Amino acid sequence: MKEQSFEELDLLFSQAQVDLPPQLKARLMTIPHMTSQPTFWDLRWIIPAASLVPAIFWLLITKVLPLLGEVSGRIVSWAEDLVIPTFPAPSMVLVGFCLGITLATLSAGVWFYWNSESRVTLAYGKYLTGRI
Amino acid sequence: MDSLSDVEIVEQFQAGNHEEAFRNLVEIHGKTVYNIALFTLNDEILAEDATQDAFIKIYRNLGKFKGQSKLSTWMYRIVKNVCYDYLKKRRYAPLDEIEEGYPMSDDGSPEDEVMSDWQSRELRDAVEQLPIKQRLAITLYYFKDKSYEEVASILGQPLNTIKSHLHRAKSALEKSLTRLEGSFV
Repeated sequence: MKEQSFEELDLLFSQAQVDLPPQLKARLMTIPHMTSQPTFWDLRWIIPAASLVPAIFWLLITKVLPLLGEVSGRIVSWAEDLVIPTFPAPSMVLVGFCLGITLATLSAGVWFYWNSESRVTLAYGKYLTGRI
Repeated sequence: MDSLSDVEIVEQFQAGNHEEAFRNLVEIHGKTVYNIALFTLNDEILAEDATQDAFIKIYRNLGKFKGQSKLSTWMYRIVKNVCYDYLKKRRYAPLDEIEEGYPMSDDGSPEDEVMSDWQSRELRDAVEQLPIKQRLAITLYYFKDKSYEEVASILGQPLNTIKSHLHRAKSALEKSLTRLEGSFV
């Protein structure tokens, strides 16, 4: 193949190079934080964990306390005062709301954790690392 | 033989200093990776996303890097694969399409636009008209040390094939750019 000089093209390509945009550089710098295991105060695990709190209360009130009540008569009377055996409508709404919040935040937390490469997570990473 | 800085980066990473090693990697190779993505995809937003995706893959796999090839060759293979995936997602023309003639975009630029920026965009438009294999070859060649051997290694193709791709790509680009210059005389 005949060798040909492409000096003009060489020059054009050398002039056409652009710098790494600063906002992209900041995004890249968050990668080690966002792809590592979450630390203690990291929202990636706090959100799903916190979402379990209403569910834990609900289980405690509706299941655990009556169960304990079966063991001891005294606890039964105390628990029966405390627990509403058949929920009236407003309580059902509250329970439904708690369950809804639990499921929504749990799925948001799981999504947030597993999609650590997403723009949203990286944006959070930028905030978290204070690089922007 | 790998360059010292690349060897040091791998050692740094494998010693557990992940963040510092990654920062060095971005400082040294970030601009080149971005330019390759920009010229391959010809879209600034996509090029940023592709650069980010490539660096995430590099970060996640750097610990497994065995040094069987140069770090840069290994890295730019990842970049090439990411760009290739982005092109497929954008439903470009068939990837094995071989075009003849390489038509240039005839979009006009505002008269007050900065010349170098204009040239860069026109060059990117011209590169975009090349078949994908030539596009990848020429961007890697110009932004990665102008080494035929390394381009061949990154693209996993024989040296002569790469030389042929590059020669065709350069000829096509020169023809396109000359035509463009002529249209402004």
